[in-house]
Amino acid sequence: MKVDSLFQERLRRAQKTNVRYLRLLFNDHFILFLMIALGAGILGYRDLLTAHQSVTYWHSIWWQAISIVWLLVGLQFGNLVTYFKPADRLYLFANDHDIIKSYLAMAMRLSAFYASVWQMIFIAVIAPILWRMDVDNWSRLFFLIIFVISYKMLLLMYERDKLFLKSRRLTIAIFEPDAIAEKILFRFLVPGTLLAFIIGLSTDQSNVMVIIWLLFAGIVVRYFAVTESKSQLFAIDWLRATSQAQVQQQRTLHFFALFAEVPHQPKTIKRRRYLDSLLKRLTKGQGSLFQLFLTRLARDTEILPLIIRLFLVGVVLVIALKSAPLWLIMIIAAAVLYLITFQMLPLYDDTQKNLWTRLIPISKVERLKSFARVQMIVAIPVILMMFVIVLFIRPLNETPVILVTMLIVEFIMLKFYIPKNSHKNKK
Amino acid sequence: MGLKINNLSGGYAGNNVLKNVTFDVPDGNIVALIGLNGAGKSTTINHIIGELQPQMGTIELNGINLVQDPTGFKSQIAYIPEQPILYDELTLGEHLHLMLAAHNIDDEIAWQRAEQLLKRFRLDDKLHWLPVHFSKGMRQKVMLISAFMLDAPLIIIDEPFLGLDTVAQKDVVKLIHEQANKGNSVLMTTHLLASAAEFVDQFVVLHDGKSRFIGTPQALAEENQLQLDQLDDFFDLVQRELADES
Repeated sequence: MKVDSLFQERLRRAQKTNVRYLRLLFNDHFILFLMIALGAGILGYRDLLTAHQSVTYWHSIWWQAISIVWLLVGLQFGNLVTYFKPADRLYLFANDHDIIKSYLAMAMRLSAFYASVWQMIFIAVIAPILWRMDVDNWSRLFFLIIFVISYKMLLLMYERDKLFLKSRRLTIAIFEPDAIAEKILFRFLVPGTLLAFIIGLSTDQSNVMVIIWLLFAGIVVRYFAVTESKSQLFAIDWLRATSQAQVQQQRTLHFFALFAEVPHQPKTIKRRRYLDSLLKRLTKGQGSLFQLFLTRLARDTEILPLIIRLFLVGVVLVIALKSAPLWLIMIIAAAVLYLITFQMLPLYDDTQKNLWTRLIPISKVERLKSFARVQMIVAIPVILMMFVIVLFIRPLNETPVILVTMLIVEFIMLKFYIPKNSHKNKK
Repeated sequence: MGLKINNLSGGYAGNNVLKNVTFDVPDGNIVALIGLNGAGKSTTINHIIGELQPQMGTIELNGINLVQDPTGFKSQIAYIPEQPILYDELTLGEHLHLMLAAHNIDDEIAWQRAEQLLKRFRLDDKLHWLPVHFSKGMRQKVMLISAFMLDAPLIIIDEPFLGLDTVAQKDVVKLIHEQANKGNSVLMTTHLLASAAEFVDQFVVLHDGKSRFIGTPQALAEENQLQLDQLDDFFDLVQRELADES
């Protein structure tokens, strides 16, 4: 195995893994979600574009703000992909120069490609709205595309630069690495201000600005470029480089884990001290396994955020489809509850895999009951909040139907789905 | 020339662990870095392998400065971490080939040495195995083979005997001797002072990020009124001394 071909080898492996996960992803849940989310999104977008024809409506400052926020969200996608692995700090540390010149160069090209695709997608989605705003000719739209993509390239170069251990005289260190202020400045404030400026420009002004921007970007590129002489002085900060790659990989796995069970996910926890009093109250007088499941859930960095995101997606869909037929809302409400339970199952399996849990002298039936109670602790607020939202946006006579639907789904989850699937997972 | 550490201060961001540490590992010498937990042994090693940037001071190996020519410096090092690090998806053979390629060492020439080491550690029939099938001791042996096959001017071993059976421990001591006899330097950390005293040339005692003692095992034993085979009691004396001071 040669160092030169290492990146390609890893890229091939990563693509293979992604294809495998995509196959897992395109299961019933994801198709269901795609159908509902895409359908709702397209319907809502079409309605928005056709219902409002007045110029003043589209020239509102709110639309400017929405487009800028959307493009800023886009800028957060497409990070540096290096595929570095923890063992690299041992096996590759003697060859930083080649890694910087060849491996990282390939990583940069791949990341630039992915990042450009992401930016194009985000611009394409907002383009119809931009067109109705002031950005109504191709040259202005073109400048916007150039700006967003080139800014993203600069961010990638900056990210790469942070992976180097450099002599202090070569570093312009304004912030501590990964300081929140740095992220806010370079990922939001600077691009947000520039985007606001660009969207407000006239065609002539934007033609001049494109040249000024490209000149400025060229200077920054020159500063971050890794020349032969610079690369001799650089070393890779392997701890940072491998942890950056791990975080990046985790993000991809998180996405897949939204709708499919991803095996071998590295586990991280967050203390979340602020939940302690709530945990204490909820677990008071309860069995030890209930306490264990709930505490693990509260400190988990995968499942809990996922549940919250799923709930928020459900809420957004229900609000976006306020004029949709009742059966669609029923499906969404049921799907949210089902997906939340589906995402919680790894908590049971993972806890069971721990030797400490297996040593606790409690029968499987009791364990399942404890887990089911934890599922209820999550499901009840979800059902109540959905009910309240539906109460506000749908006719009053429909709300009991939604409530009953969710209660039936919850009953099925508790009585059939959880026992069946936990049994399936126990080998 | 070997490794020269001069006035090294450093540590992790916002936590300056090392304070003016100075010591040498001359060619052909075996030096053991010792100290209680938190003394700064791992931080010193992380500096030498280039994972941390010194706040102050210099680190040179055979005249090459780590900060001025990181790749030139690091290509002279073989490192064995305390905990084995392996790629899940690579076989034992692939690990060794990758290590040779990363050090720009001719695979054909070095492979003979790799095969000798594989035989020595009884892994010669496991070249196609993935790490998932390795025991803890076998993983550690892969680390040892990966490092010793490089014949690097400086070999750094963090706790060389951890997880090894007694046969393998003896093999490691022999290999360390072989390295030193060839003129390569060996820097290691250990808590087993009495065993290490039999083969190391010097001990560097770190305490609270400073070098507290540099000298031969005999000198360390004499200074603390211990016999060489009682050196394992050294840390008890340090503990007692600290308790008295506080």
